[in-house]
Amino acid sequence: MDGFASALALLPARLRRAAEALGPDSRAICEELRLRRGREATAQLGGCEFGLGTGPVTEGELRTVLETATGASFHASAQQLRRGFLSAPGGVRVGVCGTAVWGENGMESVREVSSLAIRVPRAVPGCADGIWAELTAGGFASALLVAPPGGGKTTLLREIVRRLSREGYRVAVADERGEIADAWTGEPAFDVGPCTDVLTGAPKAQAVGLLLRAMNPQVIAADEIGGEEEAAALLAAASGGVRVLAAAHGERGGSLNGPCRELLRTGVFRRRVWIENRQGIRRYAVEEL
Amino acid sequence: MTRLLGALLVTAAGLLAGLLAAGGLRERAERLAELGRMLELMEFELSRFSTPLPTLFERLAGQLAGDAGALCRRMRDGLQELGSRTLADIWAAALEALPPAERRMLLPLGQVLGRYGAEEQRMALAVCRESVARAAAEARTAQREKGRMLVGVSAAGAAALAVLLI
Repeated sequence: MDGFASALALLPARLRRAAEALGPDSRAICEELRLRRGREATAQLGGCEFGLGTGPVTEGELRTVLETATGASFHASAQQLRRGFLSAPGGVRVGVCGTAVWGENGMESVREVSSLAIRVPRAVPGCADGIWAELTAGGFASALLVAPPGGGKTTLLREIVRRLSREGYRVAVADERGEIADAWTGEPAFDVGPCTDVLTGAPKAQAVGLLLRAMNPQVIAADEIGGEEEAAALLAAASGGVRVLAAAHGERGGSLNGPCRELLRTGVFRRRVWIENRQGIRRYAVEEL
Repeated sequence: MTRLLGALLVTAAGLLAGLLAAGGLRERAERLAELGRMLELMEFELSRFSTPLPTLFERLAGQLAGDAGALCRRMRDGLQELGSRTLADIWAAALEALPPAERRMLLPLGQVLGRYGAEEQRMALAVCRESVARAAAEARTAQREKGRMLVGVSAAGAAALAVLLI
C-alpha cells in the first residue's frame, strides 16, 4: 500500500470517495489531507490547499479517523498525543487539534477535536541522486538535513539511509514515530536497505544510546532533532566514531534550534543539506561545513 | 383412563409452561448481571490502564461467560474489520444477538467507545452500567415475585382445565 492509500484508509467512506477522485498526478504530489470541523476537507498539493468538494466535515468523521488511526483505542494514545500527533499504520502521521486535556506530563487527550492533518508518507527512490556525489565525496560524513515543516526531510533522510545501506554501511535508525521505516510490525514497510536496523517507538535520545550499544552501527540516523538530550546523544555517538545523519526544522537564511546549532558548533556535522520546496518541487543543496 | 391421561398431560403442560416462563425471568436477570459485570470491567480497564479495545475485548472474551462473553468474542473478531467498518457498526452488529431491551441500553456506547478519551468513555460506561444495574434489579425482583407465581398459576390453571375436561 502506498502512502496516499495508507492515508485514505483512515478516512470515513464519504471523505474517502472525495479524496479518491484526485487524479494520479495530484495523488503523486499530495503531501497532506486536512480535515477541519465544519469546513470542506482539503488536500495539500505543492504547498497549497485545494478543496475536495466534500462539504462540511463533521465531528463524527473526525472521530472516525481517530478511531481508525488508533485501532479503536484513542484513549490509549496519550503518550503519542503529548507529541501533538498520532502515528498510524503505513507511516501516516495524524496531527490533532482541539481542546487539549492537560495533565502533569503534558497533553493527555483532546476533547472537541477541531481539525486533523493527515500527513501522506512517501518514499521517493532516487530523490538523492542529484546530491549523492557531493554527499559522499571522500566517503559519507555526518550530515544535517534542514527544511521547514513538510519540506521533505523524512523522505530525503529515508532515501539516504536506503542508499547508504545498499552501499554496505551498517545503518541504525532511531525511528521514534515510525515515519522513517514504518516498522511497527517488525518488517519495515518502507525500503530502508538491507543493512539497516530500526528501533521504533523509543524516544530519540534513548534510542540513539541503545542502538550504539546494541547494534554497533557505522551510521546512525534520526529525524527532527530538537531536544538537548537528543543532541547530547548524537554528540556522544559522533565522539565514538559513528557518522550521524539527522534532520531538523529550519530554513535557509533563518535560524536553527539551539541543540542543532550546538551540534554544528561542536563540529559533529561535516555537511548540511538545505531542502527547498518550490510549488511542490524539491531542490536540494549540499553545503560543506 | 384416556381422560385421566389427558388431564395429566394438560396439567404437566401447564406446569412446564410456568417453569419456562419463570426460567425466562431467571435468564434475563442472569444476563443483565453478566452485562453489568462486563461494563464494570471495561470501565476499570479503561480508566486504570487505558487498555486498547482489541486487547480489552480479547481479555474479556476469555474471562466472561454467557451472553456477555459471547458479545466480547464477537467484538474481538469484529475489530479485525476496523477501517472498513466503524466501531459503532461493529458494536451494533455484535449486539444483534441480544434481546431488544438489552440492545437498546448498550447501543449508544458504540458512538463513544474507542474514539473519545478515557474519561469520556468511562462516563459513558458508568451511565450505561447504571441503567443495566437498574434493569438487573428489576429483573431480580420480577424473578423473585413472579417466578413462583407463574409456576403456581400455570399449574393450577392447567389442573382446573383438567378437572373440567374429566
